[in-house]
Amino acid sequence: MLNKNKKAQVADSVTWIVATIVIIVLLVLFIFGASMLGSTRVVKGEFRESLLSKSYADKTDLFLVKSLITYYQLDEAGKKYLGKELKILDDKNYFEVNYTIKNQEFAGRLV
Amino acid sequence: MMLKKNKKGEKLISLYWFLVLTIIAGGIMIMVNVFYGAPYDIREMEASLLAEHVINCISPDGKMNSLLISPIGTRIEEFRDHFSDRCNLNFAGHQEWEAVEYYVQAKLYIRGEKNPFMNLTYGNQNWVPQCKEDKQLKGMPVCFEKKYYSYDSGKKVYQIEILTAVGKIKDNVK
Repeated sequence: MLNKNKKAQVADSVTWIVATIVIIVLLVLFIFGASMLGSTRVVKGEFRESLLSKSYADKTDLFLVKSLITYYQLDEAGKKYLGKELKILDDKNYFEVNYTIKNQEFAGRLV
Repeated sequence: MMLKKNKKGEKLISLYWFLVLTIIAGGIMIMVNVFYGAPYDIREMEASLLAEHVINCISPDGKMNSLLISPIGTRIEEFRDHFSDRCNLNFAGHQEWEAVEYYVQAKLYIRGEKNPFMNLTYGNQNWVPQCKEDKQLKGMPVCFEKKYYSYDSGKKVYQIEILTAVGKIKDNVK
């Protein structure tokens, strides 16, 4: 009877020791995970639209805006040259906003 | 006799439970601290904002700054020599001995010409070679490069290439 009890006690202790080790290993893994997630915190200026007013949520590209202002100040030859350059850049997805739509917006404002 | 033994065992188990709870609570505290203690990396945004600030100085409202290009289309060297003052740039760190963490460069090209008409630079040039590398590692500065077009009073077209670099590795990278 005593022998049996000892065996049971040993088995119980081993279960607890293994459980403790599993808990510690899991915690270490979670800490590692938290550390990895922590290092990915990069702010790129892209926020949820629901958090912003519409005027802020509307994206713009200042570089494209200035180029388009220049485009509409030029004569026909200048427009031809710059239009071609801007189209090449647009084909490479250079701008943060849609070039065609922005261009139409500008043209609409000037008419 | 048997009852006494069980009480001892119960005490031991309670102590063990307390230890396990402490370990888990400590682990959660470490996790929260590690996650929320990590800084936000805002350098990409900073580099882009710096570039926008500079282009607004070089060509406010899309037209070249009259302090940079004269009405007859010649460059005004005084603007280049006092680029930081003219564009309100101040890259001084919190402490005097700290290295400058920013760099800005603007190359102005006249339409069709290969050599820059003017080169405006300010800040720590040591960041530039790292901007040219393809692979971006943790300890490297964040760079922003973009070009746009502007015009002067004589409707001459300029292509302006902007390069900005932000170091600030300690403040932004864990």
